Amino acid sequence: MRFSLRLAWRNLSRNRRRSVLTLLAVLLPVLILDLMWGFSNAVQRNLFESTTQLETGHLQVHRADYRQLQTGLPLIQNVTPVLQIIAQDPAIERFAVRLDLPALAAHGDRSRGVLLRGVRPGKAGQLSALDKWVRTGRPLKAGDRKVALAGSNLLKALHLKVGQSVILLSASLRTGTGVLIPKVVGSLAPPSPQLSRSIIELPLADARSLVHNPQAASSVVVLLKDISGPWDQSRIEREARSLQAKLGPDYLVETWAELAPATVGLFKIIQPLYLAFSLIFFLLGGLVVLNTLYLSVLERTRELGVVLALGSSRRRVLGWIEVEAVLLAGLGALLGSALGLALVGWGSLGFRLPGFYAEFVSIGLNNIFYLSISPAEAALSAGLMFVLALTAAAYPGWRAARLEPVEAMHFAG
Amino acid sequence: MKTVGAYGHAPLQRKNNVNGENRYKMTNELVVRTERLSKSYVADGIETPAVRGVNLKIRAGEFAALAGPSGSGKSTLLHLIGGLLRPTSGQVWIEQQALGGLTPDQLARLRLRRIGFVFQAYNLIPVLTALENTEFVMELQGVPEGQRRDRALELLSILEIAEYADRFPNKLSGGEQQRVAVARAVAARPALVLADEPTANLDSESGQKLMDLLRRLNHERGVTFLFASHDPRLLNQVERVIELHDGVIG
Amino acid sequence: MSRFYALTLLLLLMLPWAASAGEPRSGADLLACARHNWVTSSYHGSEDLKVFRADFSKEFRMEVWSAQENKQVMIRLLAPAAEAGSGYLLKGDQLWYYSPAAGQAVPLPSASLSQAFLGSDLNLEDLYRGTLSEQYTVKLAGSRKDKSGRLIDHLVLTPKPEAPVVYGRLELDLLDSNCAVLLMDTYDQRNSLIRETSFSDFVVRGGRVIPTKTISNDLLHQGNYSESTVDPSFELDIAIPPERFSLACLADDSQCGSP
Repeated sequence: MRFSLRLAWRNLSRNRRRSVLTLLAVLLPVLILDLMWGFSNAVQRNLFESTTQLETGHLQVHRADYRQLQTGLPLIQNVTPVLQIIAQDPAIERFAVRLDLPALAAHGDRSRGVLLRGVRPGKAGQLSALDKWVRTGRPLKAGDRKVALAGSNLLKALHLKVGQSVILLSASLRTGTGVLIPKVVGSLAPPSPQLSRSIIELPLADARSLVHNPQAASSVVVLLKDISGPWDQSRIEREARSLQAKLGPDYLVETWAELAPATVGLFKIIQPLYLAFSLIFFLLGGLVVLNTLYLSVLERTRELGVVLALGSSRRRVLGWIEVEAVLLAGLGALLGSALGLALVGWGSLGFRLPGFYAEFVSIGLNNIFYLSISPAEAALSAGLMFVLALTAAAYPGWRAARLEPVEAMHFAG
Repeated sequence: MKTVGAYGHAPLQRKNNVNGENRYKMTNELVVRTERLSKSYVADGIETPAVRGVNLKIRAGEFAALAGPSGSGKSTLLHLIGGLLRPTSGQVWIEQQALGGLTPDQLARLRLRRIGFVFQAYNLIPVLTALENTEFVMELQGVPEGQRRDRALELLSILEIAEYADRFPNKLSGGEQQRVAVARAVAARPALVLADEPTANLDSESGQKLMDLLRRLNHERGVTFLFASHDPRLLNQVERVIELHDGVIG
Repeated sequence: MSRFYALTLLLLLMLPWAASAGEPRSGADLLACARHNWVTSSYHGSEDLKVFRADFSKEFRMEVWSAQENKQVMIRLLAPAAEAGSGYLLKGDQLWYYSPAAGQAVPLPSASLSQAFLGSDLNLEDLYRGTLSEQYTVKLAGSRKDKSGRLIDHLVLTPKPEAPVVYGRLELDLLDSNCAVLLMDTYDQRNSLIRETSFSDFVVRGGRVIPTKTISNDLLHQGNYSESTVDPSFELDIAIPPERFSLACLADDSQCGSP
């Protein structure tokens, strides 16, 4: 075996350029694949986070009939018992009470339909990216009353400036009309222009005053422990079932996937797309390996003929070619993995997309991406390419083993 | 069966040699026997006979050559004897083993164990050193590394190229390369060494030197050689010349 | 809130008055006759609106003024207490809302017109269909006698091609004798019945036959319906000071001019 290894190694060093090319043919797909998976995971995680952190949480608790209610607000009239159960659940990292209300915002002779979001100011109670979007002014603070932050497009539409007051009207059959005139203390710049035209954030207590109920909530948004992306969906669903059982039939526990089907749809587009790209890279890499190894066999036809004439078995010849392939593919896969993991590791600290790619942000992504790759994915990209390279080497190996010694020795190539 | 030699009949009891020493004697043991051996090539539907009905015996310890002009069929006969080609008809025996019924792998094993080859173009493995090339067949045979090395070094010094043991073939002259090829063939301790035009690519000095060394191996170690050559320098030094004309001995 | 439906009809009925006695009447003639019941230059009255939901009901009381054939409408809520004092002002296609808590009139987006008014099964959009009659082709689909032997005409109103209307079809039942509308069925664009509105408790005032009770059933949501009752003390064709339809009046009753 040592002899075979030495022979293979020397043969590889003999045509360095070709060996390096083959090495790259294995290395690059692994590297690109690691990066692609890293980026795919980053996009998915980004989408997942901007969806779950801002909008849906991992789970949400609503009134059981909230989807059927066509008129009036689907309010949980007294959210306290729900919160007591959630607070005791060890799988829950944090939760936030939210009161979302459709309302009307007016200033001067202008008015717009808006979405009011009542939250508890401060990180713990808010569970949203709203704070991150504060463009001017300040975020909500604990103890704030009669203040609000509004989307910058909404401020523009209402000719409203930070520091001025806005009239908020909420009306529903059940709760009656509510009026609030908070002072706008800041503007929000959410990634979605639509949201920027409609969002108003205000303290939960103020939102509750609009519906004349100090215990009301529209939802409790729950973030679970140790969830990093859509790949943790089965755990999210398990916890949803467990929480549903604890809360009983008056409430409905839904996962982010049910609440944001559009995001799930995006994942369904992204995943096969990446798979297709991966396949293409694999096949290209495989073809280059096949081609270079085949050429190297062709070039050595005469030599291999001699070896066969001297009495080497065909299996042995096949073995040499395969050892060369193993060396190249192994080294390529190893280096590719090392480089890929290093780059993904570097990208895991977070990076911003440059220039025009920032356009993508408008679909609801944050412009900070955190690359990540699971050990299984890293092993898969390296392993698959390794196996593919060996498979590609099998043909030239088989060709070599099938040579007729005398003909091979007279081969002029 | 007819055996013809220009310089006498085999088997011979060797009396003298160039170096005045003869440790090995030819025996009656047959290393090669062929019977009505024929080989034709077919190209474009035309059958061209290369070897026709050859009956030949080579005994252990012989130092013999197939002679004849190019196209006379000597290389083909050599390849048939070496199991590299399959005859159109007839049979070859190597030490009682008929080659006819062997599979390609069995033939390969027989070549590996019993036959050494020296080619006109040396055909060393370019990525292996002289020493490693010498070890190569032994490695295939599975000879343990230490033993392999000792035998290779010993042969290289007999062939007077021990100092080049670590050189790669492209750093050796033609004569030196051919001596490595001989070392590789002999090191495996075959019953027979087949050498196809071993001196053809060498200048006369190198050719002479090679022949001296081959004779020495024949004498000192009893290695049986069968050459195919039309080089008179070679033919002058062998003990038996088998003339081939148009694929027929005679 | 029958007033709103009355107004809807009124606008529906804005068809050329072409009836001549003795001849058999066409659908257009009948519609024009029905419209006559409602042609008023102004209106003032008070109404009750009860909104029913499967598990819940709510009652509003309001006072309504209108002028210039409903181009100007003012609604003041009187009950429930939480809503009392708030009001709506409609001028042309502009709508304002006033709440004492806000302390000022707030312009409402035009989309509010098609949204449920006070959470009921009615909306202000229908009120604004000033061109409705031009958008529909009217056809007399048939006549029948009811239990008490009255002749009922059935009209089918279908939108003209390219007409900007949200409904697929309207069907009316009206009394042949006095053109009082008894029933209006509203179909959506897929031709399924979405709302059923019935008119009853008619009073005759100044030669016009006017319903004082309107019940509107939301057929898309089981158990959702609204009932409005007009106090029979309503007045027609009276002089209403123009200040009544001002933002100042909306915010302050003392700014509405003398009756």
